[in-house]
Amino acid sequence: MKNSSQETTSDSSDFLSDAHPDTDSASGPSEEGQEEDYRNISASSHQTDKDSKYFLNLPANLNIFSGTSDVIQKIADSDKQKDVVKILQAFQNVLLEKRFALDTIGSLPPLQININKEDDSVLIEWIFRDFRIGFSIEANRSQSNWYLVSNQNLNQLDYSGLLPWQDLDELLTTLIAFVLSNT
Amino acid sequence: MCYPDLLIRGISSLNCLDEDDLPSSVLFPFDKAESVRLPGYREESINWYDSADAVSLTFNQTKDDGTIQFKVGIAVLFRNELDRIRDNPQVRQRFNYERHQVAGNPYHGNMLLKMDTPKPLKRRIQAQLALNVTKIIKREDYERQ
Repeated sequence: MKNSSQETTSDSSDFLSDAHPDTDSASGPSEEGQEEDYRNISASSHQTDKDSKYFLNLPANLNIFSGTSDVIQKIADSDKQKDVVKILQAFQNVLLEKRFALDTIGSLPPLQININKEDDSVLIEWIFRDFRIGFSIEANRSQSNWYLVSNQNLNQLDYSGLLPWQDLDELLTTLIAFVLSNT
Repeated sequence: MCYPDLLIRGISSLNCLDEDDLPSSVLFPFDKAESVRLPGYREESINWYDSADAVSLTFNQTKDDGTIQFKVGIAVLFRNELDRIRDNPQVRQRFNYERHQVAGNPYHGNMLLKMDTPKPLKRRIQAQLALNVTKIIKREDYERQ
């Protein structure tokens, strides 16, 4: 991670000299057949794949749901489980809507889902090198919130708000537009 | 109190890293019980990078049962990023850090978060910390050196 304005001691500079390299998230094109599939599907389709039980069979570069089904199964509270699925399905709707624009930016990183055993909240996090987007589903549903924070490469943005359960698509459209502009 | 430029956070679980080895916010959970020593705060342990010995000591730290504590590796942060978070007007002095040496670990310290920090703000502080990790050293890479 680049952090050019940081001042360090010489000892620290040596220590950081091999800081882990930037990883280019772009990957090869998706398989042709798979691409054909998703260009013809709509958000209301009910096709699923075996790895993403709740979701459409998206092409590799848009499949941000890999591994999420396993974690969703571990959420004890069924209402919270439904809320997580609702957010992910809203993600899917917007990804499908923006799929042609998203094709230009290569692969998107998968969502990370973590269950907090202390308070039973669930954090869905979308991690990019210079920014990250999070959705925290709280025990009190109305207190569930989202955030977008960035590092100094993107001017240390710090946005957040309560989750608009009735209009998740609009929030995600805005956030994915940010991803498109900054990836 | 004198602090070095860098600090180290041990990584004990693979959940804390994504597939590109970028850290998740859960690396900084702040979910322990209230500190007995500092009422009103939760602590998250760190080691201050006073010298390269702090790295080897962190990698060699063991749990009470003798097993390795940080099986995955370590994350390194610049202290001035903690300063920036602490001094953010929205944080309003709810976040801080300290040096707190313990037996066998002269580098030990804590990040501190006030118990009454609203959850949305806590989430953003966790995210800011994870976003500003400047280096990850995985155990396998460290042991290969």
